Amino acid sequence: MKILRVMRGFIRQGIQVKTTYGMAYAMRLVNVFVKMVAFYVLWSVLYESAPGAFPVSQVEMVTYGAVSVMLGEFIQWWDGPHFYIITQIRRGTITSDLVRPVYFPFQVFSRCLGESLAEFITVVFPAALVAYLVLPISLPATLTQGLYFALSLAQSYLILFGLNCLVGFIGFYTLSLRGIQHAYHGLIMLLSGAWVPLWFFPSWLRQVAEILPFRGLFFTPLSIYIGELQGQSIAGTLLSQTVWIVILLLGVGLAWRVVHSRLVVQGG
Amino acid sequence: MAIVEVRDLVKIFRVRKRGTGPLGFLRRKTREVHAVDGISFDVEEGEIVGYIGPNGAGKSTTVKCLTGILVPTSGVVTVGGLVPWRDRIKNGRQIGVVFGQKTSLWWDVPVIDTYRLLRDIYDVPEPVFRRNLGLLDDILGLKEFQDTPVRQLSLGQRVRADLGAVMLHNPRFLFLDEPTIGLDVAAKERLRVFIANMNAATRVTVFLTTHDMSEIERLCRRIMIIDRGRLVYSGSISDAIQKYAPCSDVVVELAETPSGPVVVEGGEVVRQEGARYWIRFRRDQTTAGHLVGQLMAKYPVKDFRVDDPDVEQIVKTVYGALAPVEEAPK
Amino acid sequence: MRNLRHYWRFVRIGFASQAQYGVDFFIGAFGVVLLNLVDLVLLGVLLQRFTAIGGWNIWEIVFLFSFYLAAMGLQNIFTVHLGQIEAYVQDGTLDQFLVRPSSPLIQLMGREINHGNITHVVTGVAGIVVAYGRLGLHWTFAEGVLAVVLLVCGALVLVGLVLGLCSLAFWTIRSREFLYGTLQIQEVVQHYPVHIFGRWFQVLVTGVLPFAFINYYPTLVLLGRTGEAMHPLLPWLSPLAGVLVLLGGIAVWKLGLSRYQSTGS
Repeated sequence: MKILRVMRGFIRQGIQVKTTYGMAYAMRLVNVFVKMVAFYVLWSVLYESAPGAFPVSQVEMVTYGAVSVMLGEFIQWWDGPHFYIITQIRRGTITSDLVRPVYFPFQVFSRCLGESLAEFITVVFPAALVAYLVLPISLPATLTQGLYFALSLAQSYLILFGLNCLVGFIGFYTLSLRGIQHAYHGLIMLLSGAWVPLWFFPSWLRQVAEILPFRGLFFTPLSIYIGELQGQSIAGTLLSQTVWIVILLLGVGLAWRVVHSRLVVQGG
Repeated sequence: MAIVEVRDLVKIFRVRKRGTGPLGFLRRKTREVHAVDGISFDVEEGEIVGYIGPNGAGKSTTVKCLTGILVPTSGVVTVGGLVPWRDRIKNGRQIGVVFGQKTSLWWDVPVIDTYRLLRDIYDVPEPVFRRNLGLLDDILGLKEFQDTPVRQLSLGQRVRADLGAVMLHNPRFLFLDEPTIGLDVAAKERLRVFIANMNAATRVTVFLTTHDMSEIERLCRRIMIIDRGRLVYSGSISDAIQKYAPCSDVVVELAETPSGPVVVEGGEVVRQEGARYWIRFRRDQTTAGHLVGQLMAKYPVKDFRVDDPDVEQIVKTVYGALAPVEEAPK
Repeated sequence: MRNLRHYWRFVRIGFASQAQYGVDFFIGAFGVVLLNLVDLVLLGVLLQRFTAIGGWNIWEIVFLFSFYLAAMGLQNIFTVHLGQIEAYVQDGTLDQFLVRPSSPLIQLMGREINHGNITHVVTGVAGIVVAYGRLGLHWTFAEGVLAVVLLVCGALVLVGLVLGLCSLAFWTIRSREFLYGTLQIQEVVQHYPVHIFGRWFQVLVTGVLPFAFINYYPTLVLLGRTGEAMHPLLPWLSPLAGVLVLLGGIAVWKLGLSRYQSTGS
């Protein structure tokens, strides 16, 4: 299928870009690994100081931290669709994207997915391998848990894509992401559970986080991975992710129609 | 007395190439490129010397060695009694360098601000600075754009600004590495006038590398030809012409094609198009007049002209006679 | 002395060439403040539950964090453009440095001044001041001067490190990658007191990549916690560390420059 071929092309391109400079590549691997170790030490220290404060075991907590790093590197939440869109606009090359007979948001999606997969192959997978060998972290307890994790991960990716796309479309109007970008990244850092799991949040903050899509990015898949969410509650959280996906993708579709017509009228 | 002396200059680069394939960065091949392979020459004070050669011949490398940017692998270089890379600060005061297409000016700031900064760096006294500025403005028309940031200048204006910048401190030596690249004909002419005037007024020694033949012909009495790191020729243009292009062509157009071949003493037909013949002769053996006389006696000559070789011809001969060149790193 | 004079001239022109006023500046400033606040809020959430990390309470962490921020801001103002060294090589700017009668290092340092980074300095100092109040500290005038000295020395350490790491561009193409390679370690040092990471890490950030002298050791001195260091005298060496690391960075630059002069790339 053509789509697969195109995807393969993106992946290959991504891999090449990431490994061209040997030194840079090595540094990135080191960086990711250091990140994981940093979380490992932090959570170990905190756990030892007050084990009662955690609703999970030490191994589970440390795993949360390490897998969070891997997840972060894979979904690349600080980069992605919004920057791609903005760069294309700035450079003017967005016109060639629009001319192609492929739905634009889908183009962006496949490009970014290609990047992410390339990232996984070159960085995440080797780093994960080393991490599993060196750090006391675990895999999902059962196969079913693992499958739920994979599903949650896929949904997380889609949620991020939707959010980033919407932010990128705002860029159509402002021609720059600077202001929104900071606020947006701030929100993700605060409410996604990438660093501090939501179960530590004071109740009012937790409630805020629960109604926003950001926790679907990290907290949901990670909780499933380490088994903090089991059985019935998994269904609930997965569903909330799906709801957000629908909302966001509908939003993207709508926004795109508005933006597209504006583009066509203005001629970029 | 030679003011620039170069003896057996050698500059070897080690070039690394990636291996092929996805993990190519793990396999790398190294090879040595002799960008400059034993060059010796002198330059007298006040000379304008042209330095020409194919791309990758080692021109820029030589200039970089002469200006203290690169340290040679071996050999001796003295510029005004100083060793460029060793006495770099002192040497900096006596030279001015313009690299074609690369500006020495601050990008976002008006030209005049860069000039004032350079005045301080080069310790130019204020009255001297003002006088030089006035002189430069006369020739280069700086007032037109001196308050504009460099990034808003056209290429021609920027090159003028660059030339002005390097002359502010009255350097003894001017190194110009392809300064007129990308300029239109009028702009090139203006710069040639500038260089000629500066040389006449201040006796600045000019070392000019270029591909532009008219520049060479107008400005340089002496040229040096470099190819693959070796000095192939050093001397006057006329001697070079004599050496590399000793022949001229008499081009005759006959009223009608003769029955047999065109034969003329002292010349050889090298090309024919219909009734037009190119007849080549050596200038040291005969003259155009002699040939034309013969032709007119024997054949119905309708029209004729004489094609003398120019520097372009020399260069083509020199370049053409030698095999393709590897590029040294820039 | 000529060098200082030249540097000042370069700074003045570099200052002029930074068009960072107006809305753009405030958006950037907003971003800096916001992201750092988020960081601190998350730390606060943690410390609500745990009361202390490695024996340090929230305000001591804020002090540590802000100290780094201020030092980093200072350093960025003067050296954030050093990641451009490879660009300078490509576009001939470095050649121009070599051809002028002025120290190439001074020309490099003076090339750009990024006054936008004043936001980091202001935010950092604000954080220090807030923590100072909450911790109930009372410095004498001498201690205040000491704080400023330690801050400047912390910035010098970072300047030296950045200069050294960016000069690696002379050996490989992407000097920025080396800088990014240390980013994680920098983040760790900024957020947490390094002793919680064990001996090896402490040795790493003290002796090999001396980031700890930017904020950790100065904070130990200013909060009276020098006993926690590997050796109680170590924190007092911070000013010396600043000078040494700076000299080290300069040495790497000079080495890199002479390599450029012999290999031409």
